[in-house]
Amino acid sequence: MPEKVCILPSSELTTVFGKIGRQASYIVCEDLKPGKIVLGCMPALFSEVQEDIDFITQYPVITLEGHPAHHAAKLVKKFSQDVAIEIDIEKFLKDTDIDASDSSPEKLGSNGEKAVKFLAKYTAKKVDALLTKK
Amino acid sequence: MKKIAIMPCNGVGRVVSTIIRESAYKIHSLRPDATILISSPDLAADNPDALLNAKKYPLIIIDGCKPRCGSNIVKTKGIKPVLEIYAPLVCADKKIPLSGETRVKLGVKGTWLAEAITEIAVQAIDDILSNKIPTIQENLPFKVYMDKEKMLSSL
Repeated sequence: MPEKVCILPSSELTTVFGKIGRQASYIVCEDLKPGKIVLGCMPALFSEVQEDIDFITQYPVITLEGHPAHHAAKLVKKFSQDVAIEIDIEKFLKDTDIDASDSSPEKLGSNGEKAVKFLAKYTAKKVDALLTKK
Repeated sequence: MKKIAIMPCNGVGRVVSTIIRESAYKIHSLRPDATILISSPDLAADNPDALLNAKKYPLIIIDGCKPRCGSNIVKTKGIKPVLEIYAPLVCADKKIPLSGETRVKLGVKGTWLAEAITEIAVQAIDDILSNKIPTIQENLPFKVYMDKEKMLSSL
């Protein structure tokens, strides 16, 4: 069983989904699963920072995709690594009936904050599943 | 109308990334018609719009830490920025302690650094748009990277 899980948010600057994914990843890392998460950084991975390469090679990866092109997963695959779970945030919010249109990439409204918490809890459950997988 | 593209560090691991993102949004809000924001993950992934904008407009990079991922991403795409601002040097120059700041939400000191970076970038944008080479390198003691030749040719 893996000791930790790598969460890699795509962290787009110009979409609200990038913001929601980034904030959710902080909650999972710091509050819901402290000590069990390594937080991958897409720009650093692209720049081949060794720490970030180690994260995706040593631990199962969950990507939080803020763009329909799934940039984070594509980048992981460029390093010939598998992505355990890809979460498309826009689709996730549609499926869970959360309308985050009160939010922007700069600032979250109350629905955006709700979306962050929902996504964080959902991701934490996926982390649990990966941590107990043999 | 002339525009300047801004590509900030868009990392997630360090507080400085949050500070630079806030700064980028502030820069855009202060010069909404003259700036366009580029998301580094989009550029890294060869998103056509991000690539087009990074090539079309004079580009300012704001790097957050030693790997200088923003600068590295544009370099690998064959794009040369007109200006690179390195946030840790701004932080050191202004003597802003970041202890107690978190990457989730900025406090007073993080906001202070974001404002300092914003001020530098906005001054550079105004200079470039008035067909001047930014004077910030001479006026401030920290190092601001700049390619003057490229800047002049892009105006």
